[in-house]
Amino acid sequence: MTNGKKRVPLVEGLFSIPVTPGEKAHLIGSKCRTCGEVEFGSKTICGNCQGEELDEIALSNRGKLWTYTVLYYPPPLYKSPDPFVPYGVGWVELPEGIAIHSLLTESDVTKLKIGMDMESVIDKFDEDEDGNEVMIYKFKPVT
Amino acid sequence: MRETVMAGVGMHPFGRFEGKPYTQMALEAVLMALKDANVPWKDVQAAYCSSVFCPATSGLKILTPLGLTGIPITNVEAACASGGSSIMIAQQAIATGLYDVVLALGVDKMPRGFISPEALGEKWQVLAGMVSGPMNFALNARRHMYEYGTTVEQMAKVSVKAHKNGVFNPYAMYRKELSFEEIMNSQVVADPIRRLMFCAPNEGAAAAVLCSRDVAKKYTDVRRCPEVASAVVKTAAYPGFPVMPYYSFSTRKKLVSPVKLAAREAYEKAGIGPKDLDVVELQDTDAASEINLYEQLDLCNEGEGGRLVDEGATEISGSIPVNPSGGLLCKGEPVGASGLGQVAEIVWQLRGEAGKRQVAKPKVGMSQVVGNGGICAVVILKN
Repeated sequence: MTNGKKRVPLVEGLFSIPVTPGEKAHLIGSKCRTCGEVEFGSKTICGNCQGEELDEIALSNRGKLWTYTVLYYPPPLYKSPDPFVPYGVGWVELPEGIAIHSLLTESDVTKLKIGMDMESVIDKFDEDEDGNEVMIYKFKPVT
Repeated sequence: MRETVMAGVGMHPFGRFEGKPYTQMALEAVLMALKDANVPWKDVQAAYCSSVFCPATSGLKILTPLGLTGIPITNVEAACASGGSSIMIAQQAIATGLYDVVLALGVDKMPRGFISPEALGEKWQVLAGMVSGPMNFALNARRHMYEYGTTVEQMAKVSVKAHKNGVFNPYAMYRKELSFEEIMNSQVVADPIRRLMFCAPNEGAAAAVLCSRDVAKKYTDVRRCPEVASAVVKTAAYPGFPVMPYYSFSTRKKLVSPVKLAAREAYEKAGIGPKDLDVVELQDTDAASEINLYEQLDLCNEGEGGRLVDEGATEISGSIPVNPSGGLLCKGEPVGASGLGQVAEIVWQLRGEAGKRQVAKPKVGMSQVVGNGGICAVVILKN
């Protein structure tokens, strides 16, 4: 937190930003009181039973890779590093019974394998006009 | 419910037509369909125009040069399933007795390159590089490989088949055979899918005139008018299907594909099963999706899509020919027009008018399109 610069999320309601060093990233989930289904992010209506009583929960930091790809060309409007570098994207299954769409820290396709252990991290995505660090959640292979 | 038939179809080739407005491409397809059906424009009672990238009231702008007749002209947008959605609405209108003669048309003139993700996902997802068709197809392909042992080689074979067929389609953009090696050695766009396994967004138009069977007799020989046995549109049901731009899906429940929902209802309404199909045009945005769709359409059991390719079952000469037109891989995909383009192909196939890409004596055919967010349209036509 030097020079008054802050770490701000790219999107609200999906993850908390660790404040102290060593603190783990925490993804936000919504659990339905009626049917028990869990969804990623802060939600007000259950996508399964349309129940309106949902509890915000901290999702597990660990999961397993459900599928993955590495993109070798930038999609239009992607705020890519300059020059573009290939990057990994996947779905990660958490013990709560959901799979989450996420960027991956790993972009070497030979190091990715379905079923491998992954952990969530909060990574710098960009800087905003005020010099604040814009953060995003990603998943990283557990080594 | 009254029986609906495809009285006539028309198509403007899919490709790149610099300087040619979408209105002109669409009008050419409409005139061809009206002529094919022998229906005068003034007898058309309603029109549905599918487009995703054309401006507002594009249907009205396209049809105005034919003369204003006071009919309702409605634009229909459902991403890649737009064309199939127009057919569904037209068929319902005729089946329920609202109209006797309806025009369904589709057109698009798309920017070059990847489809812009702006309209497909949320802004933060777009900025983060998390919204892209190729990405999504690749994620599904990798999972299919893991679950069923599907191979990249099988995907390449799908592309070989498509380009073999596309050579004979005057409406296709790519009309050149590609070798297995060329496809395998083309650049990896989104692992494991190679550049020559993807279809290209492009430009084009297609149209169909739908009539009740009784009224069609006034205009044309109904033996050349296949029945619209069913036209169904479905979206995914909870927990969905991993189609962008979901945040998450439940892994405690089995995934529900909108394609499976639409196909099963379409079979039921048509009173047939997948084994009764003689020809299929399906949404091969990429070669891996085609393999997956064989399974979702129940052309084979889950996990057997790759085997179907290895056996050559989906070749023009195979037991269930798929995409004899060359599919979207050869035609390209003007998203508003693609569903109607498929329907035109199926009509030509059922009439025996498909030339060198003709399937042997088909009686029942299917068109299937699926798009962003998980919207699927299935149309079954039969002689």
